[in-house]
Amino acid sequence: MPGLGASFGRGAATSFQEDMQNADCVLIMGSNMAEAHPVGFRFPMMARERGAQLIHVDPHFSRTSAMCQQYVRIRTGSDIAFLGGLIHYILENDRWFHEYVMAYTNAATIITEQYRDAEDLGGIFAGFNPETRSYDGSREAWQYEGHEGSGGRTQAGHAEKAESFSERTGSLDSATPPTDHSLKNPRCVLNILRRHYARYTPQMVARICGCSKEEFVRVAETVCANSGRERTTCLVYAVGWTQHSVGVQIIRAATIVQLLLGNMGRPGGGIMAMRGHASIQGSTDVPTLYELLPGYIMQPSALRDHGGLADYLKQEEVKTGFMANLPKFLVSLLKAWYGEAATRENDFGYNWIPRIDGNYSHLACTVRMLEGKMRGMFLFGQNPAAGAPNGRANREALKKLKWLVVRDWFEIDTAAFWHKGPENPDPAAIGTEVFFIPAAASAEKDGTFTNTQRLLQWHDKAVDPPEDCRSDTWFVYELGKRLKKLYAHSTRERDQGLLNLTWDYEFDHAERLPDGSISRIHGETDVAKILMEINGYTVADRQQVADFNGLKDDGSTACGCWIYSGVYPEKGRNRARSRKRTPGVYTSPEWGFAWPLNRRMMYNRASADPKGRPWSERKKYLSWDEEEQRWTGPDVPDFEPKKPPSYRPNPDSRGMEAIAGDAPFLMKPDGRGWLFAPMGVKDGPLPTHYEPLESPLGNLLYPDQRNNPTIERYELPVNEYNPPNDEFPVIATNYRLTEHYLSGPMSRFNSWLNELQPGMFIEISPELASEKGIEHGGWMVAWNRRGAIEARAMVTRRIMPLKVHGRTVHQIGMPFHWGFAGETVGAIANDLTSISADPNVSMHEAKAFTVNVRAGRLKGHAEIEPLPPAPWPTREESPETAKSDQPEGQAI
Amino acid sequence: MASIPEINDARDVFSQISPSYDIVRSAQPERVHEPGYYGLPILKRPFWKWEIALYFFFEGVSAGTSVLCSVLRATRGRRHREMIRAGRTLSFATMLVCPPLLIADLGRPERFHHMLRIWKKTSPMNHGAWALTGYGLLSTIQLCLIWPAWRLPFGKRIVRLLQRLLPESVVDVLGMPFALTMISYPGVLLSTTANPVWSHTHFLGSLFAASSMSNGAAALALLSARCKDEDLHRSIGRFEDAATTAEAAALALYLGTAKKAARPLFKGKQSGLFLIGAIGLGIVAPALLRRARSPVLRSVVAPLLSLAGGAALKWAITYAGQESAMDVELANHNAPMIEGQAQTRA
Amino acid sequence: MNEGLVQIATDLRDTWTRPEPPAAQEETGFFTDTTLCIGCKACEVACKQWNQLPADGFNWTGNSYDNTVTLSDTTWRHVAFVEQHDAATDSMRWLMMSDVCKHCQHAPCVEVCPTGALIYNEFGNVYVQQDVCNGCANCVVGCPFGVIARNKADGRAHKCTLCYDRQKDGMVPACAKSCPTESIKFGKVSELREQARQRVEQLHARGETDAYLYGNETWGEYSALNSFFLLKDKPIVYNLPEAPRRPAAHLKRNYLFSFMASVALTAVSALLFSGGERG
Repeated sequence: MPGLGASFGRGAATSFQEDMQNADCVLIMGSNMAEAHPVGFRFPMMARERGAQLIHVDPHFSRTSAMCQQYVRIRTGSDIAFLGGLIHYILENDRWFHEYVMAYTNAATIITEQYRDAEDLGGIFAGFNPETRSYDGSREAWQYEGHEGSGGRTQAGHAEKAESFSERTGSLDSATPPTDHSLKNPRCVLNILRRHYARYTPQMVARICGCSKEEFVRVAETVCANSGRERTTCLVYAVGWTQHSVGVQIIRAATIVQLLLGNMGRPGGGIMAMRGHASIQGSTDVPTLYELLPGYIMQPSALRDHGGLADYLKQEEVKTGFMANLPKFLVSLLKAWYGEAATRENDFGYNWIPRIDGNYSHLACTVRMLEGKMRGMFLFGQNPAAGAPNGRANREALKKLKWLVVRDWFEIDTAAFWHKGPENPDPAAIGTEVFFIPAAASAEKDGTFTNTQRLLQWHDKAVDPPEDCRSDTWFVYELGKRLKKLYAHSTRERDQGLLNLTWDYEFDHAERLPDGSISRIHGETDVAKILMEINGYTVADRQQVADFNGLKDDGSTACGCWIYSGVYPEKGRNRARSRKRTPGVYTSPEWGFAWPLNRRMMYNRASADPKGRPWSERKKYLSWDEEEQRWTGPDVPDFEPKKPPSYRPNPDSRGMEAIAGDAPFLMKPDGRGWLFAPMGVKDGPLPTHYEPLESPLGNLLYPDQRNNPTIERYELPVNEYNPPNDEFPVIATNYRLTEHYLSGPMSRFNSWLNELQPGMFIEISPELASEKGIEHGGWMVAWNRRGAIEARAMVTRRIMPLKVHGRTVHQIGMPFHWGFAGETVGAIANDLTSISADPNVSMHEAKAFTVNVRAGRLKGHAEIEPLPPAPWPTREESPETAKSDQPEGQAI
Repeated sequence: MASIPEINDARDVFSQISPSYDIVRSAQPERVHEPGYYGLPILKRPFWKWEIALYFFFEGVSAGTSVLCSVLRATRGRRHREMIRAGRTLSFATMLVCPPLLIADLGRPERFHHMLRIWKKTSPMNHGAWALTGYGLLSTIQLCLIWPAWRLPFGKRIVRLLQRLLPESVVDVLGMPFALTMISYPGVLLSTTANPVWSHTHFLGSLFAASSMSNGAAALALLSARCKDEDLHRSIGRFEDAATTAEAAALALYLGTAKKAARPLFKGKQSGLFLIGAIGLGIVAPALLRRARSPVLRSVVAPLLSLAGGAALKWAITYAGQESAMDVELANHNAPMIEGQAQTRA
Repeated sequence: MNEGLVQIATDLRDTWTRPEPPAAQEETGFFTDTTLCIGCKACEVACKQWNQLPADGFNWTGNSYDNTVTLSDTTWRHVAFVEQHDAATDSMRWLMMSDVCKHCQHAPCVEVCPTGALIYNEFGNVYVQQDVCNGCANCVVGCPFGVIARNKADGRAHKCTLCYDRQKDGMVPACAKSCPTESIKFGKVSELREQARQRVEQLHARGETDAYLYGNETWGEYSALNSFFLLKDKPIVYNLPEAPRRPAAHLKRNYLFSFMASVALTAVSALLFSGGERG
């Protein structure tokens, strides 16, 4: 999440959901929180009951909207215009939190003379190279004055979508760039901001977004009125923002709003990034991403000067701020992986880590598969045949594989793609050998979840999995053992990494179930051992390190993922397993473990004013205790606990010493929140409105620059993009229903969930329905250049046509939960979405695309028989209540 | 940190959205004008079907005949011994059909005896179960008394013993309350529900009772068809008239008090059976035919029609419950007669 | 053969001899606050999971997001969805309400049950004793809310047990436990009623004057409900009756008229028959 990373330093939700109960206003945009995160939505509801205003800004009226006092309908993909309007409103009406902004953000910092704004260049910022379609010149053109050319690395274009700390946080030669606190210099950030958003007036917002001017002003006024010393506003987003060609920039716009209003690092404030899957936060922390090593350390790259460890560290060096500790984390990681084989002489095995030489993200790999460049694939709990953008392209890609391993609970769409599906595939014509391997469910294995607020929660194995089902760890561990055996005698340098990998996670004693019995299964892995390694230990005496402050860069410590360090601080103490409530303390510090260092709220230094006093009694959180000379509060300070507010660094200080006592964003090289991002984002230092890749409308702000100029397009026969004309005049978006999970591999095999939402439907306004002759409950077809789907029409007022650019535009919405495997089957919404990639994180644009619609059914479409409902729960007679359990009572 | 104090002032700088919503259903706009929740019924359809309808008919004939036989025995027993015997036999035979019908209707037939676990004053079905038990027992004894079981071993002796212990008159007296309950409870059973067509009135019990008496009379008339005693014919005919009049009156009261709830009897599936069968053939036609010259019309066709009408009436009303349960409007205002205050359980 | 006979004999004996009921405790119930319901249906799933109830088939209704339609023998919690659009202000409202057995203070189902299978258990909850119920279906027509129904497969009446088994072990019923926003509140009825009154006052003070309690006290001929609701629109909008019927309230009068008819006709017959004898 570079959007948050570029502004604050870490790409994760800045607060915790429990804290939302303290908000005075919650602005939910790009999230359908009540439906997708119903349990967490408890906290906005608590805030509402305490008197807070809940606002939902969204294309379709969802269950979330129903819970909010204010609902504003906007066109999908127009979020930056709305947020830009908010920024304009805040600046124009002088509603920004002056003391906070001047002290804690880079508002006063002066930007280089070379900088030219998109407003000046017709929609493109300075530094753009039309040939590579990337901002190659950004390190000069977007920099702080006097820091031109710093920031270290070359922008590697689309090859790498780095989310590493160093890249996102950026590096400066000095933590004290030139500033003008009088704000007279036209090149200081706040003035650039004013100019950039000058045209985002309420009228313009209404014209682009399709809401009314009054609705927008009401939201803006509510948000402003509920921010400041006494009040805080929390902002919530989710995949409704990220899955756009400008997703990162939308999030950046939100961070600017929250910084200007002074809502960061304070109770009831912050930006909640609601993650899209269980433990998806965990899967980026200890990443399944190709370009990152655990703890957001950048994967060594063949395209950069990453030759040896020293080169890497020089390239990735961050001189000031917390990330100056990078060498300690990387060396400890290498020690954890390669154990005794990692020595100072061999760079601790640095060279055994494969270098990346291109984009190996999910979408890029799909394209590679389509081109026949991939032989095989392992899928763990992933369902690209129905769940990935452009489902048909994904199914075509799977057919090009030699082998495919699917580990899941059921024969999901991806495992069944060779014998059923919308294209009615001919098994004889498909050469892919599919191995379906049954997996254990979460209650059938030990492990942790890392949730949306970075909270690690351990779950115990309750029962043995049935039959041959095994945990994913077991599978990977066994695979590793076999591969090691296979290569045991290899002397090739490139195999040494595999051979030297520490690989010993078996149970010391027979595995026991909670009831004390011995597990039926032999050879399961002891995942507690993995968590202990992730926490880190001293190499010499194998003692657990207390936290990452104990890590060294001399090879004396090992740590599997430095940000998690502290989760297992001593033998027998698994803090993720702790479930203690602390009465009266809503941060519940003894419940699970939140990285880093069990901090629940990040950047919480900002909850106190520059002198360390709470901004107000009502919004008290962390404050400087003069007597004890330390920061105190209900949470772990996200700051050096003993650094006084008055501390000032020397100009040549390095590392944490360079961070002043009043600079709360300690991951940033200057310790400030970045309103203007001189680096860390690849498509502009300031968010600016572009139309989605597919839109029937032009860009009102920049007639000559319709889309984000840096989008990666994949022009393939199966991945055509819709032209921006009236062939596909209807704007479509997709979303989640509470009743199902993702593309349904876990929910469409469960009768209890299927009966709640048994079929695919498309939500459509009465106006569009009557225009096209579509009847409520009847069949309708939606199609575009990539595919066509049929579904039931849900004609509802929850979807409405919008007045945009002075004309009426229709939107439709559809859930994306169905596929062709399962007890209920239905059209795949993703057959209409396209493969494209935003420049920062290779994210596709599934939340805004165009279609056309008609009444009726699809011809020549494969009719797919759903699986019979599971025999359990049974329809058989329920067992007699035992006599002893039978109540007796008074029959009146 | 202490928890954040509650906010009391209204934060919204603009006025609240007025809560005066017009009730317009948005999903399914075409069904906006249907009352309630997507036109779905509030009540569940009764599970009671043909078994129950037939039971009501047969037990009505049985108990009606039984009561009339008792009265006949008390008033002119010596002259009409054969008549009474025939009547009792018919009463017994129709009674015999009842338990199987009731048991077949149960979801758990093997637990039919659970009806007799308790005595429950608020449950007409419980009353009915006890009444049927008592009635069935006494009606069997009665049959033994008048139709001595010669062929059984010791038959004569048992009958003689019974006759000594329980003379017919005693059995009659004992049986009367049971028989009268059998006549009176079925309509009350239906009325003690939330189903509008059954319960929006206090006269369904009376209607069923009158119909059963009238059916009993019709059965007697039929049995006495070959009897030469004109006086008996006249008496039964008069009583038939009286019972029919009572039935018509009860029906009028029923329809008058049920009002809208009686709609399923005039419209829909049961209307033909009710209007033509129950009223036309069951009440009007027999009343006219009883005044005909032909003895066949008078004492064969008229009673047969009367019996068929009774069956039609009970069938139609039982089945009208199916449609009535679908009526959202009536289920919504299901207690139009406010009667006393409800109590809170102590 | 012998065992079978013994079994039958035991069953027969147990039909009439039952253990003493446990001592009554304070009454428990639900207070369902629809203003807090987010329509997640966790209650429906938790209920089915805990009580091991089967799914009712997969039928897309188009009735907003409600595809389970109604409470039944196999659906003991049901979430209703009502979309309302005010054309005048172009504003939407989406009402959601988790329906459940009302556990009436004077429950018609208990009153009409001829076997005594339906009882008030020690927590004052309406409960079907599954080993007693013989499936006569009288409760089905007795319930003015259409809650209880007879199961086709096992022939007995089923409905919400208020998780009797969980309560006995000191646990909260599954639906209330799973409700993320505490729209479903479980507790002692006396406390819930007070809580509900305060909640309505709070909402009224906030300007939400359309909030009111359904079933908090006796109304019309009907008793208070031990599982009652806070609603924002007319009851019928949620498929609840405005004036539910309490059948037993009419029992005496029905019997009176009925016996009057049968006794009077018997008397008339006596009169007519004896008259004939004399004449």
